[in-house]
Amino acid sequence: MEVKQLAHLTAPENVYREVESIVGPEWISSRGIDRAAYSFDVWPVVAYQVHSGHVPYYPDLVVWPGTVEEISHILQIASRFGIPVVPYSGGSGCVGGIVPLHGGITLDVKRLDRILDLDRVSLTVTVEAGTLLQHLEDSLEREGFTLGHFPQSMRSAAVGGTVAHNGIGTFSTKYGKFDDMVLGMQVVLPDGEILEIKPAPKRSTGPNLNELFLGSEGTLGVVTRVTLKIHHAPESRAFQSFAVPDMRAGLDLCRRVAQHDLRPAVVRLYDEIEGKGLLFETLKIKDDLCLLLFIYEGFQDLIGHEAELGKNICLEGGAEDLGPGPARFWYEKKRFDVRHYLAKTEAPSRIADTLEIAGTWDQLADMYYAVRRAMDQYPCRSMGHTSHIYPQGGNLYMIFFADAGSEEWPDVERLYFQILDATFTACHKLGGVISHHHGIGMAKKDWMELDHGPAGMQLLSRIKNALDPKGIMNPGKLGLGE
Amino acid sequence: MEDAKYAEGIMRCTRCPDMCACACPVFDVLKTQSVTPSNKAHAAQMLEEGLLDPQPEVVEILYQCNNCRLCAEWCIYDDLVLGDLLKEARKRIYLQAPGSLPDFVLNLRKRVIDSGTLHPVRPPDPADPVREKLRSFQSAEGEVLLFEGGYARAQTPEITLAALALLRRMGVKPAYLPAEEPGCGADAALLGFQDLALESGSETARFLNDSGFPIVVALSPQCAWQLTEGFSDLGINLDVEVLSLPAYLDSILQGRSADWKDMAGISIVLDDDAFLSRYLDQADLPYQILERIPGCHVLRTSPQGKLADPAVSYSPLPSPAAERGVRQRKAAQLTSAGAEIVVTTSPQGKRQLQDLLAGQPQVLDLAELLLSALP
Repeated sequence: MEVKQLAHLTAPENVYREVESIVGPEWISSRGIDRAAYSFDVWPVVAYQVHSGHVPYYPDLVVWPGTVEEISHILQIASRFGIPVVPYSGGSGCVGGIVPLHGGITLDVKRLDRILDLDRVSLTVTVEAGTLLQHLEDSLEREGFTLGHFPQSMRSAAVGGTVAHNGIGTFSTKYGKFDDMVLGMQVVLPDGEILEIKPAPKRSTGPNLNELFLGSEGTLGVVTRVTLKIHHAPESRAFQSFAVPDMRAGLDLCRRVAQHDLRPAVVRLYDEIEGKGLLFETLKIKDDLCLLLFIYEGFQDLIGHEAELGKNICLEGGAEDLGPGPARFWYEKKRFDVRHYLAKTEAPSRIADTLEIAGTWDQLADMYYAVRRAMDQYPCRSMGHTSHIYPQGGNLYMIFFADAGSEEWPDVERLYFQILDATFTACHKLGGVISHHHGIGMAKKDWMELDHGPAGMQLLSRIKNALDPKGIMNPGKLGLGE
Repeated sequence: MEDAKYAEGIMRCTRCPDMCACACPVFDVLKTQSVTPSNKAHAAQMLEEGLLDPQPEVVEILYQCNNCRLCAEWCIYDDLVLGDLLKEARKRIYLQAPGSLPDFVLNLRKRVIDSGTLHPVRPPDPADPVREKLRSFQSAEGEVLLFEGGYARAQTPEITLAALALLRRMGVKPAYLPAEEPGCGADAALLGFQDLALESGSETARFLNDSGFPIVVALSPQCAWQLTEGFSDLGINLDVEVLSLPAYLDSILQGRSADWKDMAGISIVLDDDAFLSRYLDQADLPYQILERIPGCHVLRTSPQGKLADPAVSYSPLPSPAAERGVRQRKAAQLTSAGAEIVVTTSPQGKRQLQDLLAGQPQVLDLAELLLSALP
């Protein structure tokens, strides 16, 4: 539908009246401008369409509940009417997770934006799901703490969405992935029941219910509150930068650092293409080298030692010491800079995306090269980096800038999905997973079975049907049927 | 703004993944994606390209802006100010489709024409002793001309009185011509009423150019900006030097020492004014001035300094709830510092905060505080 037609759509009157009686007239809308705003996220395929004035999917209603009880009532209404519900927090996802494939109610939780408790003894914070990550970090910083979660999207991302796609931040190697940070949560289930998962550092009381909702992408309920681990704000930082001849060598150094039980807050290994700009900007180096950055932060007495050990590992592994400059420059100037990414797609025939795959060390380097070869079969420029490492493996950000508009590839959307297919096929052959932290959404649902297999997909479906028998929660996502 | 620059600017904002969203006070209060920075730009883009008809619900989005320029502080581009792009969008919609303007915008236009300001004004009390005292300061002679501004003249005569008295105590003789002073057109320009802005601005330029004063000190930072950058944008030529009051005070304090009282035990928090901080880039000046006063303990509300606090709304927003929310948010930030006095640098800021805080803590303009700190 063209965007200007949205203003002329009506909303289902009976549902509108019932929901309005819950939240009040100020917090419900069927206006065209609101439907359009909630029809897309950062996923380039749909975003491009909406920016061009075409809205392929849109909600019937947008609702902003103010309490958990209101959310519970809304889900009960939706369940009764069989209306789809798409939970929405920051809308910063990049896989079309919040795109309302079947219309219905988009339920924006951003009015739930309070920090409820800061426990300075246990080092936890309990926060409502609509709180923006930047605001949470600002509040913690005022008190001398940090969440340690710094995704590039944190200026628009919110807590609820981070749970929903099981996100990660650039400082994850020290502070953990979001699933490491979550101790407990409150979730409104599809039938309106309110589930409380008690915060605990560890439990052995049956399957960990937190894990059920981490990465569930709004298909199993609405996350409304989360208790998270926090840390003391770092006393000190150490910046290190190295040049390595190629990605295979660089990944091996990352492995050695991780398996030496070192936990640098930031690890970034750029290939020769992606690292070129940063190398030149900071050190005027034009050579084809891979750039390896480390940032250690924490208590002064610990990080000095840790940084020294890490440096020795890299130097013994043949890396060239470039000093702190590039790492510091990345930290101060580049970590939120997406200009280059946006600039390369300022034409209707161009599309770009980042496919964050993951694998174990024994295959990771091969995976990088295999995916580069797979992408390069198509009219695109590919590059990659890694920025999350573990003792057992790491992720790869495989980036492509594709250009359709040729006779062979006239359709940019077809080209996009072809590149995805080639990438995930190559990744799967080497035992990798198709998403490390962006999630599945609309973008990758056709490849879910690669990761889970038929038995895994059946199990996911059974879980979905058990919690959401009416199928109202974000239908069509995670490859769990339409 | 040239078409190409405007088009490129709104395209960049539209496609950006909202890297400034955390800073937008309107978005923070309204919570709706329709008013994220990128979607506001998107609305402007769709109107410009004809993808959307200029219906009131769409046009209204262009006015969901606090004009605080916090977006520019977080922007990933060096030369992009979404607030300025939205101001341009408002100008264009006013010129191209004036019939599409929402009622609240038309009401604001009427208010600007009738009273010279966007903000509601209470009728002045003719028996107000402050106004009586002000009459004694009226003079066409002096070293500098104090430009009061329409809002201050109508609503905060105590600030004007304090500024005039302060300048005299510092050995500067200020001229003050309230009866002759026209409006600078800042409010009209903010809303995109180019015709009103040009008319007021031209009249003000004539007044100032003919005044014979080489230096004009603007009481309100918004006026200071309009008389400099704003006039430049409108193509209005001014032959005088315009300084904000904090900039002028800082300049004269650098050349002389003042015999300040000891303010030990008094804690102060400064209201970050958008026009002073992010338009004139003079965020540090009030702090530098206050640091000269012995014992003056200035508290910060956030480790992020000037990024921390949104300005109190200068532009009335389409929703009274949003206006109230932005100001309440601001008031909460200020009171969280635990200071005894909130110091403002704009007349609009002082009155709005006074209304919200109801005397606790006390709200004073910078000029009032400095005057009280002189023996």
